[in-house]
Amino acid sequence: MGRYVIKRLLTTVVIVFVTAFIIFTILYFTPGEPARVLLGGSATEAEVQVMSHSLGTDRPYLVQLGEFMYNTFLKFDFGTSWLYGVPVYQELTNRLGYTLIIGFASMILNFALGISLGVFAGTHAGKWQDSVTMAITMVLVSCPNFWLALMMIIVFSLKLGWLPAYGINTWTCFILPVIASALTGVAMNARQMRSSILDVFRADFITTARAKGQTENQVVLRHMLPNAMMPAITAMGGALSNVIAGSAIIESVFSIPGVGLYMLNGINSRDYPVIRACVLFFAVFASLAMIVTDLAYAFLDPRIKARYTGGKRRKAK
Amino acid sequence: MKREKSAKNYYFLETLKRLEKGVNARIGTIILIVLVFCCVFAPLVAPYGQNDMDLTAMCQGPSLKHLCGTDNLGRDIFSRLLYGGRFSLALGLASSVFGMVLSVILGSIAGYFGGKVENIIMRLMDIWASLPGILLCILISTAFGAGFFNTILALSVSTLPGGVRTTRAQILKERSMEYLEAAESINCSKVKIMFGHLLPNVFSPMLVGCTMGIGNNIMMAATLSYIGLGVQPPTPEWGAMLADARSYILVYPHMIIWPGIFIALTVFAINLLGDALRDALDPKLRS
Repeated sequence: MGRYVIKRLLTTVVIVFVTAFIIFTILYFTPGEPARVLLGGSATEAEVQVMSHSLGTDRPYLVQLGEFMYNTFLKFDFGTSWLYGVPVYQELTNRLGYTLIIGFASMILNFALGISLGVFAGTHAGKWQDSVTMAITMVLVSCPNFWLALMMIIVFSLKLGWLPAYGINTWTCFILPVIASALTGVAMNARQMRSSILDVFRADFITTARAKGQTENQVVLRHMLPNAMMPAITAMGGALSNVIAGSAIIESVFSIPGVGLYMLNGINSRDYPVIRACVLFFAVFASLAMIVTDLAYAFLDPRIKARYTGGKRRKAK
Repeated sequence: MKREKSAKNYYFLETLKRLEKGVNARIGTIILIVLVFCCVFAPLVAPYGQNDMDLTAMCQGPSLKHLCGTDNLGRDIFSRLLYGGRFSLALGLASSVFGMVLSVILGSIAGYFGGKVENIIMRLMDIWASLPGILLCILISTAFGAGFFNTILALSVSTLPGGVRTTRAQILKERSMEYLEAAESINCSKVKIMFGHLLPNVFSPMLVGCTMGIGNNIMMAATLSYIGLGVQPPTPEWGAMLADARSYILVYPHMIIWPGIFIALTVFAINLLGDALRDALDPKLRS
């Protein structure tokens, strides 16, 4: 088990390195001088040159790349924002909380609601409850989540006036963004869960459990659910990193000062240090989420767990 | 040769028959046909031009004269939605097909040749896949700049890892089949084996993936346009229309509602069709 974890961590390090290289290269070869964009249209050629020199963007590619890699990975220094002169690291840590709160909260909602809906639909397969749940989830899967977010603003903030439409002043501000970023995931999870429940529905061990005289609830909770959960758990890591990376959109809808909005602002103003740091953050987060998912999978699935712990457990029993 | 052809036709016809049986597939197809027809023949169907401004009728709610109301410049939203559908549908279709072609080529090279080539391609895809799709789209659009063709490129490249993996898995499954051994034994060239024998057999899962991809890409394109990295206003692409209407959400919510409904309806129809297609092509369900 330990070797597996170490191997995965090493792969992650490689992935982060390559991502850093790719993002730097993409931005370097992006047409248009950043200095010119920063200074605006009225800047003269001389001013642009001075600016490029002070930013260091007039140096050759390899020199800049080396400096970027050295600063990022050896000194953990992401540089300062070209536009505001604030250290990117400081700004990133300030904003991190909002993005993570929304991401994790929507993940919890996603799982709680998605799995219960899926189990509900799966155990009622063929009845009207199943059709209604599936129709709703199908519609939710088909809507872009930023549009759902806008619709929720219209309904809950403008028409009903229950919740604030934007900002982060009170905790109620987080309700709409969390629901908005969870909805698509809830729908996908519910559909996935329903089909895996249907897969185990006719399995022999379920028949055995019923034959033992267990109540239907016990059968569902103790026998069906643990076996049907695996695909949902596999999807968890991807879903979490998607929510975090997609935070740019939800944050720009609700004007939440998180990492995603920081990246979008950086893109719009060609603030390269900001873009690089945000992308690296997302990449590291996505890889870590993947590792945690794989470990959770290995830990929860007795078939995989047995492979690592060997025969010890069986002897102890 | 003739027999082979009729067998293929039979397969195709059977799939169609199975598709026709499902209610979902019918609903999806009807919605899609109506939508595509209206968008393609937008100049005939739409009551107004896409950029016709009526400054006496700005920001009106839905009425008989303007089915979905008008926007902040007095343009008829319904007409713009129909014209915009051309862009949105074309974006979805083109990026999905382009992505599929690329991933089939890469995936079958990886799966068929194996060895070093496979290793390089798959490791590259692993790295590609470790970044979430939406982030990749944003990055590529940033690098190439916003615009119609760049959005297609961004969308198709970001769906690459999934497509390559599925193709490779399919190819690996087919590679151990006897018909390939037979083809190799009669000295078929590698290219012919790959494109003539392998590809037709991995076609159906790719077709399902491609169909589902269209819907997904339409949504993704709208998202990109919404954050200003996709198609730019005043092009009436649905996401760009949403981006345009964003500043009026507090006063004129109808400008936001309609483009979203069109996106949702299209993606909904495509998903219905894709699900039905997957079931129809599934050999396990074939009786």
